[in-house]
Amino acid sequence: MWRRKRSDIDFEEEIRAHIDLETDRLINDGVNPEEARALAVRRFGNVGKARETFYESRRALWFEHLIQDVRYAVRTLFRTPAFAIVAIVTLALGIGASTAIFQVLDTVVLKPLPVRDPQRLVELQGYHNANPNGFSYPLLREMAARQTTVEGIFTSASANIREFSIAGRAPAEPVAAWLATGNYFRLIGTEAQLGRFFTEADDDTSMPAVAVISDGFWRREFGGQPDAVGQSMRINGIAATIVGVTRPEFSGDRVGTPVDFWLPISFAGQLYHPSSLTASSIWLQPMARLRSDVPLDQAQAELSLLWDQLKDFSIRFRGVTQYRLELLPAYQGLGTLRSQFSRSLWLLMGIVTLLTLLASCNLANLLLVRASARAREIGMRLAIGARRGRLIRQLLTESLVLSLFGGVLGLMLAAVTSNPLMKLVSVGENWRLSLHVDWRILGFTASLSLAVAFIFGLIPALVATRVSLNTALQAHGHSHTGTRSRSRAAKLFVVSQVALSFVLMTGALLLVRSFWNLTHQDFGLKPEGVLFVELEGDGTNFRVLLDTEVRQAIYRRINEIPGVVSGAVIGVGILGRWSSVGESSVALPERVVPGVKIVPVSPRYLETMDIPVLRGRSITEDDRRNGTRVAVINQSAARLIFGSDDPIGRTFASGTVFPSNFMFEVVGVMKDHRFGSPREPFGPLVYVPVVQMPAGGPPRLVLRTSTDPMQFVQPLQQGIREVAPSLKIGHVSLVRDLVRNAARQERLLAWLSGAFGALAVLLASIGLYGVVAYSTQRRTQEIGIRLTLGARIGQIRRSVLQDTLSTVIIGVVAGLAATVIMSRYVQSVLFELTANDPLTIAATSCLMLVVGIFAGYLPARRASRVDPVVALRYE
Amino acid sequence: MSTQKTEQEKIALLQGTLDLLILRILIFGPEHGQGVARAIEEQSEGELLVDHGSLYPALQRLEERRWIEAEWGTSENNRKARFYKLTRKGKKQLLDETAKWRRTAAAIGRILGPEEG
Repeated sequence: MWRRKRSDIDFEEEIRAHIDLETDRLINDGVNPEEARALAVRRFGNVGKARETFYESRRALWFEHLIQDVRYAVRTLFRTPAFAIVAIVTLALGIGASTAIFQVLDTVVLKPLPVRDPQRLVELQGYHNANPNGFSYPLLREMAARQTTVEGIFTSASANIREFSIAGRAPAEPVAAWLATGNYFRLIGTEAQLGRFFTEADDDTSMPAVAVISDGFWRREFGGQPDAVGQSMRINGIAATIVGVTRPEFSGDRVGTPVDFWLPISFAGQLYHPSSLTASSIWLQPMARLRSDVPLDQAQAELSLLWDQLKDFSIRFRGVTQYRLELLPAYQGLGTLRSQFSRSLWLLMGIVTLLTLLASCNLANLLLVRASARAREIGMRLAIGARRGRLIRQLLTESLVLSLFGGVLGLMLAAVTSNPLMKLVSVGENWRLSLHVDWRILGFTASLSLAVAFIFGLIPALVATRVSLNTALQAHGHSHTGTRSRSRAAKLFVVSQVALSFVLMTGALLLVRSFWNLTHQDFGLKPEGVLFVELEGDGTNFRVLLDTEVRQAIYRRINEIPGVVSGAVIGVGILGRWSSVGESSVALPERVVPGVKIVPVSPRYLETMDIPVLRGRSITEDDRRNGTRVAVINQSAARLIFGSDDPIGRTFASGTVFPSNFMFEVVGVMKDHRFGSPREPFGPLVYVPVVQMPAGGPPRLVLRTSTDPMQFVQPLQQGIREVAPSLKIGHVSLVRDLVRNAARQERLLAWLSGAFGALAVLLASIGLYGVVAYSTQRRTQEIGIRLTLGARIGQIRRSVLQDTLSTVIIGVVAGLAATVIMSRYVQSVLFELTANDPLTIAATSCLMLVVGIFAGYLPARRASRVDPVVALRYE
Repeated sequence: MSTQKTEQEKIALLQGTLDLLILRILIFGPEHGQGVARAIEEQSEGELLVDHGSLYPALQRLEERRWIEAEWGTSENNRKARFYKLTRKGKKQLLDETAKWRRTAAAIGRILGPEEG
């Protein structure tokens, strides 16, 4: 059926040639030329019929056979509905889970931006020596003006919204605003759904403000009405007119990040800070669209040269000797969402693929058992002349029909589960991603179903058709034909199942233990019973948010609240909630030590978090704004900065110059403790008094209270209002929950892999039981004879159990080998655990043995109860 | 033309035997469809009638089984024709089938008994 088809024309021509030849012959025989042709045609018989037969054999036949096969398959499946249902549901679970996870993986990790020729988009990453560095706006403009090798350079950046209204009313939801260069939409390669996009003219600061809104925002705020274009919005005091709406699939260049509207970047000065558009503000991450006629390295060479030549358009740092620029592929857009989640999602994808494979093995075993029940039918069909290939095709068609039903059901299952899965994956993330079933998903499901059908269908089909005709036709009911190869194939599948479930269970146990390690580690502090509060401004007074005096006042006020054991203020977030703090250097007279985090905290911070001070003292209220600057450093910092020397009383400068205006005296050493995300290693950390160092972000509070911490939100709000009326409480949570939240990806992996692992073991034990039970049943006669000859019941049981356990052990060994091979894919997500952890492997091995004993015990018991008389009459 | 019989008198070929006869004719070398039909008729001394309409599907079938292979060529009187050739597989098949047919024919002959007058 795959052979090159002979064309109809070729066949027609052959018939014509025949008639010509026949006419010649008749003329030769003496027939009158006029009659000869007519006679030849008549003698040929029915041309149409010949043609029809030809078509049948050439074209329609394989198709007709397929239809026949499908109809036959469906009929056969209907005759054994229990089998069909079990098979289809098993497949649907495997295919559904795989499809759902693939859909999330595809949306979050794989899909390119929905724009024209995304492959030609690149990100411009500049470096000062080895340090990545962004662009200032003048630098971007200048480079864009001078370059000749790319279609253009463009950028977008998120904007801070303090005040917002549409046509005088407040928005339904908080809005996400972005800034974009005038060439942004044209170069990224998307078209307006309605109205127009920005043009280069909008880069001019004297132009009136305009806005392009996203499809989602348009539907949410304007109900999708076309008159949205032309309406006015107020953003931080600027009135902007809506000029256009993007297409539904376009949501900017950072996948998953919400975008409601874009304003021309020329308004950054008014929206952010007047200096935003000057060379001193480095905040942009530009992209470029490559020209089709200029190779990447040529563009990179030119832009890199410009980056060097235009260094005056940026802040000059000391000691930079090399200016280099790289063009990184950006067909998937910018942002960290993808790299952050891709590892977990790929891991999940691997897990469900193995699970689907396992389900296929299970089905293969079912089919093998069925094949033995159908040995007579197959033998009969072979006897009356069916070719083996044709029968194999027929049996494969049955598998295909099963897996297609499974695939369709799986697709429905995926449609229901992918959105909750997406929610689960993105808990705590502000994503706006919608899942669509597109040709990528359909293609995945279709090819998976097809692959699965071949995996579970081919070997049983091969085995089933290897039937010796005589025996198949002679034997009644049960036949022994092909049992050797059949039981060998069945064993192979069971061993694979045990091995696969071993791998999945080991993986699951590793991920669960890793999650446990992560959440139950020694944090170096006591997170229980501590409230964490973020303060935010009301948009009227930014200075209050950063004022050190206000922080001091807040610190004093919260400690006056009755029931508060201890309260403190910290200038940055902790434990994975906005807790990434840049590393700075500290300078000693003799050397500069990089890689230290310096964090401003109020007095009582260490006491509130219960971080032990090992030597010296903590930060106290006596450390005043104009007093001696002091620092409490952790063990890692002490080791890194001062080595084995006693750090107490030593002085260092923050920055790279010693001495400088920022000199700190070490007054205490504290225990190493988790500060940032719970996964991060204990790094060198330095706490300095909040009054002695300008803080980076809005204040956060930690409170240890005598009773339920959540009861203190109300009095806290009141206290804050007294000392700083423009501040209010934003996010509130327990420190314990911060830790939990920071481990949510690990929890997701632990739960899902645990569930899949359990399912895998269940499937494998069902498969094991099925095969043992079946082979024991086949041995009924033999067992009967052995019992008659005086074998003891215990011996019979033992032999069945031994048989089972040997299969399990082979499976475990195979699984062990596979685990060792696959361990490197898991290692990177494990926390303080090696992927070849002996304890985990031992636990899984024991589990598999126990499962094996259970799966073998029931058939063994049944075997030992065989009545010899019945058994001997069995055949 | 004493051996020339009318169409009605000729024996229609048994289903299945046509394949065997085609293979047998082709053992002498490549031949086109019309030549095969004509050879069967002539070698059977006009006893067997080849339905030309079923000849080509039969050739098709044999080709599909790889017992014969085909190629366009030129006939003895310079006409374009599709020539069929026996393959190695086809030769083996011919030997098997011939042996089988001989046994069948002999068996049928024994059952039918000696020829009557």
